[in-house]
Amino acid sequence: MKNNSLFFSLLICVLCCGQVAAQTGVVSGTVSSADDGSMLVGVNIVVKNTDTGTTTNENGAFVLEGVSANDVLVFSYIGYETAEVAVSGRAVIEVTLVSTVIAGEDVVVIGYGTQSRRDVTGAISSLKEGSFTKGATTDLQSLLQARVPGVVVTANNGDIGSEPRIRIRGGTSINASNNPMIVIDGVPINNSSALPGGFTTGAGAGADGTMDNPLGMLNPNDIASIDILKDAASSAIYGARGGNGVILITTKEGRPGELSLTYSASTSSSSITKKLDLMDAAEFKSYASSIGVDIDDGGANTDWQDEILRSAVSTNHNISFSAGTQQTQYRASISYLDQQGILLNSERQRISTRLNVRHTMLDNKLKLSLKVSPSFSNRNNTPYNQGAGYFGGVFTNVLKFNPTYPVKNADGSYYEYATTTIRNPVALLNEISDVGENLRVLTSATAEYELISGLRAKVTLGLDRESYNRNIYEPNSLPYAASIGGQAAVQNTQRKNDHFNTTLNYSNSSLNVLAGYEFQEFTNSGFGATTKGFVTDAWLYNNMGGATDFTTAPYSFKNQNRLVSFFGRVAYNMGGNLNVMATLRREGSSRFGVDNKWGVFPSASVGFRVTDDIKLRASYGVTGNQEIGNYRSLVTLGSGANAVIGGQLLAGVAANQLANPDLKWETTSDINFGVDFALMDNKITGSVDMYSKTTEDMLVEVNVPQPAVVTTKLDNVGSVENSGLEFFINSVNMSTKDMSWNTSFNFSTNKNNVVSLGKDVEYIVTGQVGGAGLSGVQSAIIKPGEAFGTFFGYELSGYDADGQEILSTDGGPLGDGRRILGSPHPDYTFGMTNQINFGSFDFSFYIWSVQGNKILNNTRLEYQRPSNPFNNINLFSETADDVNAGLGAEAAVALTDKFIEDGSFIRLQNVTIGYTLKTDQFKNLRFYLSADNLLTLTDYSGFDPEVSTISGLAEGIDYTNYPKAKTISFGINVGL
Amino acid sequence: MLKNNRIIRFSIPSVFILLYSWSCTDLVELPYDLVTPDNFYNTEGELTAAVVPVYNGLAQAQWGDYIHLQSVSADDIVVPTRGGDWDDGGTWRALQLHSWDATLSFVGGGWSGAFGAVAKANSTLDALAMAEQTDLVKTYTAETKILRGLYYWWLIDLYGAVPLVTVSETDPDNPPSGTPRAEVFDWIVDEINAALPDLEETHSSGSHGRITKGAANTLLATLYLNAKVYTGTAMWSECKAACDAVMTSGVYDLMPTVMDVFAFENEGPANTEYILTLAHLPLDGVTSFRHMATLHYNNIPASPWNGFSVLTDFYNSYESTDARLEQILEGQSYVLFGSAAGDSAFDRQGNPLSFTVEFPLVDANESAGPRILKWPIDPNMTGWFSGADYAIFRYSHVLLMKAEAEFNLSGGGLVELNQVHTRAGLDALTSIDSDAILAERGHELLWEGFRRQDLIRHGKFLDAWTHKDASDGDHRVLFPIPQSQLDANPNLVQNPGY
Repeated sequence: MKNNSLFFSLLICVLCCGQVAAQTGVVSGTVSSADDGSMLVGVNIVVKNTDTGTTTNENGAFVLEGVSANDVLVFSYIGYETAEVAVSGRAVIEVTLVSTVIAGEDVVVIGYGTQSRRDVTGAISSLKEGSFTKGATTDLQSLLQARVPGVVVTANNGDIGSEPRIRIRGGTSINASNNPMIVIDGVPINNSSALPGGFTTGAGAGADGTMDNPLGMLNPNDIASIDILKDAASSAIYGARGGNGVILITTKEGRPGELSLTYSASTSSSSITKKLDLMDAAEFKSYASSIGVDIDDGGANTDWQDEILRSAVSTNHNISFSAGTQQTQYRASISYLDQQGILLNSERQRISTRLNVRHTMLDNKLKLSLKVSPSFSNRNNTPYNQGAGYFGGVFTNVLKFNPTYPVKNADGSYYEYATTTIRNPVALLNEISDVGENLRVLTSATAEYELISGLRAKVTLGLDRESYNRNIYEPNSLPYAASIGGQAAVQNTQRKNDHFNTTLNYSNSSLNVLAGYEFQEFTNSGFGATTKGFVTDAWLYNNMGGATDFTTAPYSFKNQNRLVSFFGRVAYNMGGNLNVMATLRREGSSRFGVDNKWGVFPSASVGFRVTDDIKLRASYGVTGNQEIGNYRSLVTLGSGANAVIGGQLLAGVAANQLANPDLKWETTSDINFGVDFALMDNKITGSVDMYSKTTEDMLVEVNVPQPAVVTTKLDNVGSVENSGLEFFINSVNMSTKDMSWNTSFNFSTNKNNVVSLGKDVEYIVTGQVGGAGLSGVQSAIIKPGEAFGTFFGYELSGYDADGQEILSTDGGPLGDGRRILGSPHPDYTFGMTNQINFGSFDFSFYIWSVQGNKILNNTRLEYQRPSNPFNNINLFSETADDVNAGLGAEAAVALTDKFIEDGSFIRLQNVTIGYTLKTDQFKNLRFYLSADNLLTLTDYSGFDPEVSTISGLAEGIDYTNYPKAKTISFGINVGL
Repeated sequence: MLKNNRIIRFSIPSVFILLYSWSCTDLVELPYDLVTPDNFYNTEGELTAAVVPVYNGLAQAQWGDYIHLQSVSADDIVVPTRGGDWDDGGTWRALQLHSWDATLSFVGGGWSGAFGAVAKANSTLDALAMAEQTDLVKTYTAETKILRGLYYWWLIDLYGAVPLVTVSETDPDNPPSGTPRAEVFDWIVDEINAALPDLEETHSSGSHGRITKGAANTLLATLYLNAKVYTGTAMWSECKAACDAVMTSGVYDLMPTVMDVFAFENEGPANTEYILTLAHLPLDGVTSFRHMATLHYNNIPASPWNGFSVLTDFYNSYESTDARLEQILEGQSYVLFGSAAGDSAFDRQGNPLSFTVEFPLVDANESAGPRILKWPIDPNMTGWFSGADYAIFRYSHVLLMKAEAEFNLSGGGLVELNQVHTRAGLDALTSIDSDAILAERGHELLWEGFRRQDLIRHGKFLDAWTHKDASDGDHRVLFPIPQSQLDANPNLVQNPGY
């Protein structure tokens, strides 16, 4: 498969030398690499259409007997283009083979195959290992951040191992997922976290909020390339799952030749970038007395932020070794990551292993591959509940806690409020045990056989298995937990993902035709139990039977969905300058309604090479989004509506969903125009893309006429548009023997616009604001003409004589005075990378900027409230200014434009300086110093503008979030 | 290596061809932890499980948008805005000050909550009709019909004309229009009368929490009590007859003292005054919310929400010797549960907690407002979950309806009125009038969901009280039809004035 479309770039260089022999019989010679002239060991040589053959020895030399003058020799070698050389009567033949990857054009992974970059007709961005950041990287997504135009990766918070948000060319959906599809080595994986939930609000508050990264098991050092299918023409081959773009991850393989061993290690130190300006003890007392509150003075001056934060130390070790013969290659790796978060007791460990093996046999006709990657990780979850919960987690309590209170009493116990609603955040971090244990194994096995010349059949079997345990204990040492006698939870989630596909592929120098079938089944199941009332905290969650209160119901669940698809692709080079491609996928999903089980997703694209340096591309495609959850089209009866009758608790079972036999995928059609250019002898290369995509049949929860068992049903009625411009340029500013300097720059803009929510829905309000007294206050509106999750609220014009806020009273989308206050989506984003090599030094830095987005600073909304001292709750220092400006001390503070802040920033994302020591003992020995998130220029007043607390369908809300850290790393790379 | 095995060479393509020929295209969705109507409603247990959710709808009478609409819009209960606490976008103030519109969340929730229960009743009745008609199935059918009637009573009381739908499926392209209020009223009355013979009479442990003849007759009496509001025609003699049916059944009686009515130890069959009980257990989903809604954070360890309070004017309308004042916390407050029970309670600044009678609607502080401790603290409370039962209908409500009916028929009713009045430790009244009946109902049935109805029936709902000005129009006696429903159902017509 890998070679299918490489005929275009095939450069065979055959050097003929030596005299012409009169008779044949024995042919000898050497085979070397065109890249560096090195001799190639184990190259397979056969006389075409015979069984006669041999391989090169350790010096790259070969001797082949019984060759006649008219024979053709076939030289094949993994990682190199196959060469056919006519003997033409010669006795000595020297051949150089051209690498498939390094020389010539890039190879792009396009889904079920590869293509030369030169022939690409869609909008596909690629990142190769060589261009990855040179610093210390622990997660896949950070490789992508700010590097690819049209791909916006946002860390939702600063928690270690938490899930960033990836958006490719904007969001297309309200009720289905906006996450791109992730395919690793040809196997689509389950791309949502399996971490079971924690305790929510109520007596056992605080443990929830963790957003575990579903790709957290991947070791970035194992990744060879990341290819991103951005336009629908490229992603349509993935049909009903391609609607949000596709990220194709290819892992590193072994190569023939001698053993190679690499070791890399880094150690990092992280610390907070910025603290919030809360009142200290003196300010708090002074402010409280100014508004007539006689505050309970604990006599201390505690900076609660300092008490929960720390300088975190992380270490990372990677070892990989690879080797191979011409027939068999392998690469094995193991990495160990021990990462601390900047909050006390926030940490994770990960051991990620991978073994990739390839084997070729039967005259290279049969190619086998097995890739196995088990990974094991543990994490101490931090109880930083961000939701609308009244009690909140660590940050809520840091913000609330009276700064005159000490952390601990004289006797060493934690200082606590008399009420259990406010909780000592240091005690929460130290006393709650909340441990996640993940085991995930990704396996893919492929077999490919060349039936006749150019016609290959391939079978891929993929297995993705995941088990996630989460154990939580909230001990009696916490007063709120003591009121229920401590509580323990043990939970487990199991994920099964079985994938099978088979393809038949024919290729020659101008035509590449693919046909395939794919089957995939996802099964999720799990169970959990909670017990309360423990006589001792010593058992933690390890002896749940030791409890006295078994009233919390245990749970278990199981659900499943299945996809079946038939697909095909034709790529044709119509004589040099013109490339065309068309794909078609017919896909069925068990999730869809009985009347709409199957969808058809076509695409067509064309590339025209105006000159050798300028290529124009145009594409059109249709993709779907089937991430709507399971069983959504059926009438289902659910449990939970119970009642107590005759003194007995009776279980009720009632319909909890209305039928929709027409339920189907969301459909996105996309037009993309692009230009690829290469100027000044390829010193400057780049591309510009323009796109416009329209999503129709968007799923909207539609109100149903009553009486009905539920108030809404999911219906394919909405429409949204995304359009944008992307620009990428790479410039080799300098390239001499001693010094090179490379700059790449990317820029993208995307405009999201809701077209329709169906005839019955005028608007959707969402984005529940967090905090006491803010129940039911929504911050975002989705309505035609605006972007997803546009903020809305009152405009504040001052304070009246009673100290109440003067708010806009009428007008706005709902006619109630709440106005549109801005979009959480950026106007544009850009990234710039500079890589400078000077002698033995390397220096790189990259800058990321997001411009024009708004953030709702929900934390300020709640903790800039002047009345907080009445409730013995701390607040921001700036509140004193508001009160001086006329805000009444007991006035309620509404959601106004005051709390919608500009989220624009320019960030020095990474700076790395490295030194490579030249020695004979090592192939490579490099030391580096690297800094992440060193400097951010922004007007945003919260911890960090790169933030999002998930609240309904809204983005860009910052509420009691885990703050981001800056990280300094020292590392070493060793190659043997 | 190159010595080829021709069998392998031949067989490998065959394997690939074989794999191509195998292709699964089965896309049937297999539920594992769900059931669908096709595989349910077969056994008696499953039929019971189908009736239970219809009962579950009653929980809205204790906590939910229904009870908030019925109580916070009246002159007895208020949720003051305490600093930023309970601001909640001004929704609680909108209810109290009669400034709601069709988008207020309570208005939407009251509609969908009651109609959701109606829809469940309709599905359950379908399933029961398919089942073998045993005595149990007949009783279940009767109970479900009474419950559906009760939910329709809520709907016509709140919204006036509402779609009357008694089947489980309607035409999505032509959704039902509103049925005139009087027509729905007549239908409910007919439903009750038809179902009555199949209901149980007794109030035993087995029927605790269930619809009995007594509950059905009380519902009937309550409908007749408000007949003039619903239909334009008073039906006092029918009201009296329905009350008599309850009173002569021999099943119910007043408990000796006010505190006995709600005492935790009297829950169950021992409580002769509870006619329709919403029974609770200290478990999630079947718990009482009342203690959490009103008590101060520091009153009990579970840290209640410090919300609902009694309005100043209403509190002051009690006679000082009224035993029912013991159900209202005012002044110095104490810890009510846990190891510190009986100790003085403190506010969050550490000052003694003392609930004040006078307080503003906004900018109220954490100790503002008398609190209601009518339903007891469950001694077996786990976390905040309480098993304190709640009565949807009590016998004193029947006596007071009887008094009001007698008064309107003949100027009588003093006997029944005094039964309730003197039970509260007060001297017997010597005369009866409309205001005395309204006041007695107010004090007796505080936060039991009748106050808005009573004020409307007595023509006082639009008046000014503590913080509220006179309402801005007669239309406030009905809530608007929720905007979301007007959007979804073009056949609905908004109530006048909205």
